[in-house]
Amino acid sequence: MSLFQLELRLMFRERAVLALLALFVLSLGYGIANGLELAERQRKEADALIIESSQFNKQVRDALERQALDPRQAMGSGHLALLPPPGFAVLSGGQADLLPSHERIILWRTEDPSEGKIGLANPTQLLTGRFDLAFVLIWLFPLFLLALIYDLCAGDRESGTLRLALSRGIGAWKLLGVRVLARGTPMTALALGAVLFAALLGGEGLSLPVWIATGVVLAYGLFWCAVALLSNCFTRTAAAAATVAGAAWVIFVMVIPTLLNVVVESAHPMPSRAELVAKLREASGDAERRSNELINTFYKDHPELAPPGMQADMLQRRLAVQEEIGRAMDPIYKEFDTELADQQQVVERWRFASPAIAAYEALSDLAGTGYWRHRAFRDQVAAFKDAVFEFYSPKFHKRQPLVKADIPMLPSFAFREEESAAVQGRTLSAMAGILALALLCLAPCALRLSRGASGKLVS
Amino acid sequence: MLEAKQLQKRFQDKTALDKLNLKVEPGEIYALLGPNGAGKTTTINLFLGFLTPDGGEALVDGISVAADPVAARRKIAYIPEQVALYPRFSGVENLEYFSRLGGGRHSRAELHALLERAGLKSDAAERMVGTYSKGMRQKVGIALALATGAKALLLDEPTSGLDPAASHEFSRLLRQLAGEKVAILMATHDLFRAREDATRVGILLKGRIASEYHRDEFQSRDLEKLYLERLGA
Amino acid sequence: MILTIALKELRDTWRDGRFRIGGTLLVVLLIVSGVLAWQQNERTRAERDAATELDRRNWLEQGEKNSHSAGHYGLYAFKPTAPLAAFDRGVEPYVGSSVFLEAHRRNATSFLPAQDATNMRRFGELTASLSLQILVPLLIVLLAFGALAAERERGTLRQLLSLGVDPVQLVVGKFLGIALALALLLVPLIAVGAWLLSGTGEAGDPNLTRRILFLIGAYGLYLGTFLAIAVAVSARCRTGRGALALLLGLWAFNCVLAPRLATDLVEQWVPTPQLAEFDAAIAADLKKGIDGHDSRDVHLQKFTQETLAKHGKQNVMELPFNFNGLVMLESEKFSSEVYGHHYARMWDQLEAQDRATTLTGALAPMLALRTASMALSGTDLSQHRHFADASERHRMEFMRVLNEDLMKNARPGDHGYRVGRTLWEQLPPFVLAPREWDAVWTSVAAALGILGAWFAGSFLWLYMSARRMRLEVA
Repeated sequence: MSLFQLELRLMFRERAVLALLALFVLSLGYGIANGLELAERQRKEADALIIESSQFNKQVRDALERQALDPRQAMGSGHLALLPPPGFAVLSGGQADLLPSHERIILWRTEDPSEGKIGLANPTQLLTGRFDLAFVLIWLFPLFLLALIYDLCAGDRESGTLRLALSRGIGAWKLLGVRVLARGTPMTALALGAVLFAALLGGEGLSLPVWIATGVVLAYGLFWCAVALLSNCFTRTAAAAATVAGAAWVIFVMVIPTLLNVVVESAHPMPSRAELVAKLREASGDAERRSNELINTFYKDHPELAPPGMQADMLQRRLAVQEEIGRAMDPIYKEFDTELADQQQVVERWRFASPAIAAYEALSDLAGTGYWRHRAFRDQVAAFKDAVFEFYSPKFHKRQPLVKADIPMLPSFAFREEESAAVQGRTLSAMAGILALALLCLAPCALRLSRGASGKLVS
Repeated sequence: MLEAKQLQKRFQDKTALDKLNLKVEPGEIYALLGPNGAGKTTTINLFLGFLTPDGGEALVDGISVAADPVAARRKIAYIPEQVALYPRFSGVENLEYFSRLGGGRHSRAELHALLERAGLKSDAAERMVGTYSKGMRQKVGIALALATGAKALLLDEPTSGLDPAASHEFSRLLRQLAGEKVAILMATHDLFRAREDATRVGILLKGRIASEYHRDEFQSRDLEKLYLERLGA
Repeated sequence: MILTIALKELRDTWRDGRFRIGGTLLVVLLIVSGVLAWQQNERTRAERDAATELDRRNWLEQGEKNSHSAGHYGLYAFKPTAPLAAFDRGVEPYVGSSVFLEAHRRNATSFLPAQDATNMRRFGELTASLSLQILVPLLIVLLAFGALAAERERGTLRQLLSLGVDPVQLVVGKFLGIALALALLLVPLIAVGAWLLSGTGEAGDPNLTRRILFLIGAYGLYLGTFLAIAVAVSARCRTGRGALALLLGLWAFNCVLAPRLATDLVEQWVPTPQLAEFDAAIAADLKKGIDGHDSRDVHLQKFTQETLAKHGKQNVMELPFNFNGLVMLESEKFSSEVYGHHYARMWDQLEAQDRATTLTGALAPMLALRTASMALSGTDLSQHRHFADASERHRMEFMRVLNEDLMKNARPGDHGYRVGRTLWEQLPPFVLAPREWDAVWTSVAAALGILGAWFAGSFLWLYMSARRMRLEVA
C-alpha cells in the first residue's frame, strides 16, 4: 500500500472525518438544489417575457403584412431587452437577485423612477445571501477542509509519533506533503465533483467554463492546504495550529473582503441617487417649460424631419423634451457607470489580497452572474435604446405610418455574450493568482522543512 | 558503524555535549549511562539529526548526519522510551505505515512474520494499538528495526517501566539483533540490564565520556559501585 | 475565592499572546469600522437632506398648473438615515431610499444602494455590529477553550481540586476572569461609541438612549452566552484540542452556516410573494373601482348617476362643485385602499419571514441577536415599512388636498383652471416621525426573549458542567 493510501486509511479511522465529509456532501447537495431552483425561476420569468414579447411582435408583423400601422401601436408596451438567464447560473447566484435582467424601451416615456426594479424580495434575505453552491465552495469548503487538515503534525509531535516517523528516514517535506494531499483530496474531490455535477444537472454540460470553474476551486483548495501546512510548520501544538487556521479563515474570508469593500467604496464613492432623482426632476421640469422652444430649435436643425406646417403635436413635443432630458442627465448616469466600473477595477486589482475574493469573482464571472455580463447587458441596452430612437423618431416627426417594408427593420434586441476569451482571461488569471498565493504560503514552509531542519519540527 | 567525533552541542549558555568521542561497532551493544542532564538524549538526537551539532560530527555508517540526515536515518532504527504509535491503527498497520515511511515495502505475511519474531502474536498484532501495553509497543518498535534491516539501533531508556518478564524478553531480542551485526547504542538508567546485555559501557558526565568499561571489566566488578564512584569523583 | 481565581485568570488572559493580537486587531477593526460607518452615515444624511431640499424647491417652483396635474407631477420622499445605522446598517443597502409619490399610483421604494455596488458587498459589511456578532465570539472561543481543558491536560486541575477548591467557584472564577479581560477591551469602546451616537439623536428619536441601552443589553446577553458555553465545553472536554474543535464548529455553525440556512428554510415555509402576481392582483382590483381618467368606465358612469341623484341634478355641470375633482378624490380614495390592502399583505408576509428567522435563533443565537440589533438600530424591515407606510399616508394627504382644491375652487367644466405657489406651499414637506417604542418593542421582544433563554440555559449548563467536575478527583 502506498504512503498516500496509508495516510488516507489513517484519516478515515476517525469517525469525525466521515461525519465532516457527510456534512459537506449535504451542504453541496443543498447548495446545488437551491441553485437549480433559483436558475429555474429565472428561466421561467425569462420565458414568460419572451413569449409575451414574441406574441406581440408577431401580431405587429401580421398587421403590417395587411396594412400600414401607427408607430405607437407597433411599440406597444415597449421593446423588450432581455438578459437571458446564464447557462451555469447554478454555480453562483452572484448579483442576479439584485440587478434587473430586462428592460422595456419606450420612446416617449419619461425616465422611470422605478428603473432597476427587481422582483419583490425580503431585504433581510438579500442581506444574508442565499445558500448557493458558491457559498458552499467559497465559505464552507475551506472551513470543512481546515477541520480535516489543520493538524498535520502538531498532534503527532505532542504524542511523539512524529519523532518516530521522522526517524524512519523520510524527509519532513515529503511526509507533510503526502499527508496534506491525502487529507485534502477527499474533500477537494467532492467539491470538484459538485461543480461538474451541477453543470450536468443545470444543463450547461462539461463546457470550458465548467472546467475553469473546477480549476479555480482546485486552486482555492490548494491554497487552504498551503495555509494548513504553513500553520503546522510554525506552531507547536495542535490547538495553536487550529487557532492559526481559524484566524486565517476569518481574515481571508471575512476581514479582508469587507475591508476591500470599504476601500473600494471610499476610493470611488457613488454619486447620490437621491440627488440624481431631484436633478432629473429639475431637468424634466425645465425641459417641459421650454418644450415649445425645444421643438422649434429641433426643426430648425432637422428641417427634413419637420412635419407639414411645422405644427408639432403632443408626441413630438414629448420626444423633443425627452431628448433634452437625456442630454442633461446622460453625464450623471455616466458618472454612476464610471464609478461602478472604477470600483470594479479596484476589486480586480486587489482581488488577490484574498483568494476568497478572487475565487468568488471568478465563479460569479463563470456563472454569468457577476459584474461583467451585466455590464455588457447595460451597454447593449444603451445601444439598443439609440437604435429604437433612430428607427422611430423620424417616423414620429414626419407622421409616417409603418409599412410592410419596415418589417425587417423593426428593432429587436438579442443579447451578445461577452467574448469568451475575455471571460477566460479573467478567470484563468484568477486561478493562476490563487495558485501563486498558495506557492507564496509554501515558500516559508519549504525553508522550514528543508533538510536538516526537521529537528525544529519534532522538538 | 555509529561514530561521534568531537561532538559538541550547547543550549543557550549550557554545554550539553563537550567534544564527545564515541564509537559503536557492528555487533556491539553500547550502554550510555549517566545522571539526568548528562547529555544522553542529546547524543541520540544528534545521531538522529533532530539536533544540529555546534561542532564535530555524528556519523552513521560513514554518512555525516548533519549533511544528509535522511540518508543517515535510513540506516538507523530508533526506539524511544515510549514507542509512540497511532492508536487507531493495529500493530501490523502501524508497522506497515512506519516501514513505508522509511521506503520499505512488505506484504501482510512478512509484516506478521516480523512481529512474530519480535514476540507479538498475530491476533495481538491485529488489535488496535490503543489497547497495547508498553512492552507490546516496544515489540512493534523492534519489529520496525527488523523490517528496515537497520544497521544501527538507537534506544532511549528502552526498559524503564517494563515489568521484569517484558524486560527480559526485550534484552533477548537485543542480543539477537547484536548477533546479526547491528550496532546498538542504548541510553539507560537500568544498570542491571546494562550489566547483562552491554558489550561496553560509557559513563557520560557533563557532556563527556568520563570513563568507559569493557564487558570483562564490569563483569568482574560491581557496575553500580563503579558508576557511583565515578559520579562521586 | 472566586475573586482570586478571576484575577489570576484575568492576568493570564491579559498576558496571552492570542488576547493581545486578537484584541488589538479587534479594537482596530471596531474603531476603523465605526469611523467609516459614521462618515458614510453623515454623507448619506447630507445627500438626502440636499435632495429633499432640491425636490421641495422643484415642487414649489413647478409653476402654475391645474391642481390635479400637480398630483401627476408628484414629489419624492427620501428615507432619513437612522443615527444608529452607523452601528448596524441592517437592511439599509438592500431597501430603496426614496419613493415617488404621484397621483393614482403607489410606487415601491427604489434605488437599492447594493445595486450601485460591486459583488464585494456579498462578503458583508464591515460594521461594529458585524465585529461584535462574529469576531468577538471567535476571540472568546480562542481565549476560553483551554480555560479548564488545558489545566486538566497539564494535571493542574487535579491538583486544584484536591486542594478543596469548589469546582463551581473555579468555573465561575474562570468565566469572570475572561469576561473582565474582554470588558477591559470593549467597555471603553462601547462607552465612547454610545456617547457619540446618543449625541446625534437630539433632532429625532426620543427613544435613542433606550435603544442604545437595550442594544448593549442584547449584545451582553449574546456574548455572555458564548463565553458561558465556551467555558462549559472546556470544562467537559478531556483535551484543549477537543474543546477548541468543538467550539470552532459551534462558532462556524452559528455565524456562517445558520444565517443562510435559516434564510433558505424560511423561504420554503413562508415564500416571498411574486412581483408579477402582486402587480396582477393590484391591477385586477383596481379595475373593480372608479377610474378617474377613463370616461367609458362603467364604475364612473354609475358614480355619476349616483351623485346626480343625491344632489337632484340632471347634469354634472349643474353641481355646486367641480365634478371632475370629486371623481379624482373618489378614485384616489379607492385606489389607495386597493394599494394599501395589497401592500399590507406583502409587508405582513415579509415580516412573517423575518419573525420566522428570528425564531430559528433558538438554534443559533446570532439570528435572534441580528433581529434585535437591526430593530433597535432602526435599520430593519419593519422600520422600512414604517417609512413606506408613512410616505404613502403623506401621498394620500397630498392628493386629497390637491383634488379637494380642484373640486371646490375650479368652476364646473373649467379646463383652464390653474393654481400656483400659494397652494404648493400649503402642503408640508415629508417628515418621518420616529417609530413608537411599543412598535419597536414588538419587533425586539421575541428576539430578546430567545437571547435571554440562551443566556439562562448556557449558565445552567455551565453550572452542571462544574458540578460534574467534582467526580474528577475521586
